[in-house]
Amino acid sequence: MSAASVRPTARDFVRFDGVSVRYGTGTSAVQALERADLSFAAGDFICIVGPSGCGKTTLMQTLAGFLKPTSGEVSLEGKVVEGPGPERGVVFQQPALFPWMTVAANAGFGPRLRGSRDVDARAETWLRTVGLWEFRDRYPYELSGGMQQRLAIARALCGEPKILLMDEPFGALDALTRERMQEELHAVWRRTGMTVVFITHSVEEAVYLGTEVVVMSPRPGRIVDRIAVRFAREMAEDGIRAVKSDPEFIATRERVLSLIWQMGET
Amino acid sequence: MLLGWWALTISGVVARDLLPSPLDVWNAAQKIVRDGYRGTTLWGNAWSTVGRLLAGFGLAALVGVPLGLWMGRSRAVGAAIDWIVQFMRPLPPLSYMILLILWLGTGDGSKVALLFLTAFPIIVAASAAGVRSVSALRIQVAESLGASRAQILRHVVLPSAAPMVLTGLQVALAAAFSTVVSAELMAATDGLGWMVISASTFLRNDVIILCILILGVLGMGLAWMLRLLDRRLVHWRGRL
Repeated sequence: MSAASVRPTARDFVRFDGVSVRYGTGTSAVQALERADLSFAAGDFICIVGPSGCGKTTLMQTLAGFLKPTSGEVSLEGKVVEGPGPERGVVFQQPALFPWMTVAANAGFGPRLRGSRDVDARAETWLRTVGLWEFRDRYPYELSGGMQQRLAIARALCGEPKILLMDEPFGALDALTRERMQEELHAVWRRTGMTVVFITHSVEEAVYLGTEVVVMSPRPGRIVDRIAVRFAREMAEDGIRAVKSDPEFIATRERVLSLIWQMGET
Repeated sequence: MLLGWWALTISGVVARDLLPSPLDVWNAAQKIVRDGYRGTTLWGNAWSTVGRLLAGFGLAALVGVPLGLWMGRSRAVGAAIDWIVQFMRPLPPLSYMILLILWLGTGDGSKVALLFLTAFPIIVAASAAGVRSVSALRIQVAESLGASRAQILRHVVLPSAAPMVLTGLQVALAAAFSTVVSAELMAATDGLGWMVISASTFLRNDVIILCILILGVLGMGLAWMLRLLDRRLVHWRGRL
């Protein structure tokens, strides 16, 4: 738990300053997050891992604006987060689509709320990107689980956020679909240079998708380590499979895993 | 069923007066359609029943759905009104029917009020529950896409609550339907329920059975119409 491994970043695109979150009061109070300090640059792909109850979702919720820190503050581009906003797109483990809207209407929901004129064009762009254009007139319940999650991602991206917050987005998918989705997300990130914060249970996923892996520990939830990873930036064409057999990849994965094992549970 | 009924009547096991045969009922139907029943027409009576039903149910839906949605949205409004609804819901409507007749007379007023009171708590409770059960994730998604409170209400809360609201309307219609007939049996000067009671004093069991058949068909028809509406409006019901 050395503070030395927490390195300062050149740009403070996102900053968590001593962010604590406490649920409840008195003896039943739970310290979900204790004095979290974290900052990262635009274009980073930050993966957050840690056992259940380590506060990773809580951390993300303060950035999304769904949760107010008990103390400390979170800022994006120097602006303190006061609530949810369209510059921060979110994707949950559940796709949480709007079943009364067609696929196209789901995708274009954000821009339509703001009365944008290019709703259709934007929806088309993102639906094509995630391979759902031919399903534009269908309803979400006619899609498979993986397609539903792709639509949830397209909907978030269509809102043109500056940062994409993903809370175990592939956690409910089968292994094959999951791998394909990882490739696709990675391709979108490479092409757009979007900043992503990605919560996952899978250390492997974190190590090949992230430019940095943030390790958290539970009771109370805190950040214990940050590990810079190079695979995400290098993995242009050889894909996930090639990276997985790289000895350095394996070493990094084992390092993160042993950090988590030291906490006594996985 | 029709065959069993027919066999029972021609075999003479049951007296013709008590259980008329299908043919007797058919003949009675033709006669009533042609000549009317004691100065009233069959369609007039059916329309009286349906008219009351739709007036009471329609009013209850008109007031109950918005009120229920509001209760679901606002904790204060919910707490203020919920106990009234919970008190009304288990009451058999006929228990206060007599008061309504004393206050509003035996005409349509008391019956529309009764049907309103029957359907209203069901519709309110279902609408409030519909709003309360809206997925928090959907609301968070909408918030993070920049939706205002009004936009969330219109684009997320209302459609999310729609399946439960429509279920409430269907249950309320069925309850109102059985209440309207009972109410007409108690005190009325027209309507299918009145025809049943009137026919019973003359031992015209063929007319009673005719009325019951028409009531059954009417009830089925109304429920079917609501189900059709349900399927069009909330095509996603049970699918996500």
